[in-house]
Amino acid sequence: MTVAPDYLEPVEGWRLWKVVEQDRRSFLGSLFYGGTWNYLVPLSAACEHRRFSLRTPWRRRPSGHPAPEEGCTCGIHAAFDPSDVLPYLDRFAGHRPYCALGRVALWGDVVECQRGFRAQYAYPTRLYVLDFGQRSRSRFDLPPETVVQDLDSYEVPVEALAVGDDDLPEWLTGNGIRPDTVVP
Amino acid sequence: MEIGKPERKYTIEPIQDPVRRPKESPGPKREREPVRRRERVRP
Repeated sequence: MTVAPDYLEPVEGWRLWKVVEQDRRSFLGSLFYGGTWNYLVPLSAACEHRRFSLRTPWRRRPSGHPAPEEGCTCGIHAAFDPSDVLPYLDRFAGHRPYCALGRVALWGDVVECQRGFRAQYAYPTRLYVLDFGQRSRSRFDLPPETVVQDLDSYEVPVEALAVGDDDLPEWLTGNGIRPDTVVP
Repeated sequence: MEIGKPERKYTIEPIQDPVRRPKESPGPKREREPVRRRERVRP
């Protein structure tokens, strides 16, 4: 039996990605898992949690449920408010040349939480490439123009913002985010 | 990412493909040209 959907329009939230390089091309990469987001393909969630069993403690079994499940923490995460994702920038500033902040469309099964969503499918709708500057880049890293050009392959608006420059605080303030929580 | 406790669950089935959404609006509608009245030809 087919169940009628509750809504017909995706919801949107904020996310932070690391920018990863594969074969000299830039992709969005999840902060906490190894996966990359492919161009023009929605990301599909899978539960990465492993069940612990007292009978076989040496072997963790897959959770076996589709993501997202209300009683789990699985699914593709996005926050209502960008200020909830920006504190994670601290982990990357100085370690990575680029990160991407952006909005993401979420659909399929969606678990709405107190400050964001966990969803079955996701695809970015707008990206801001955060450039941590020359100090974070090695001579092997791609220049910012190339990263923006690569991320254009997602076919969503992409904009580069230099972290530490005046543009970012101004943009953040305009979007209701306190800049002091952002710039490390 | 810390997003708090779950509150409700629902299903979204978008009508339009969320990956290939139109980037820009089609723009302002062209104004229709006024319809010319055909002159009546008296028999």
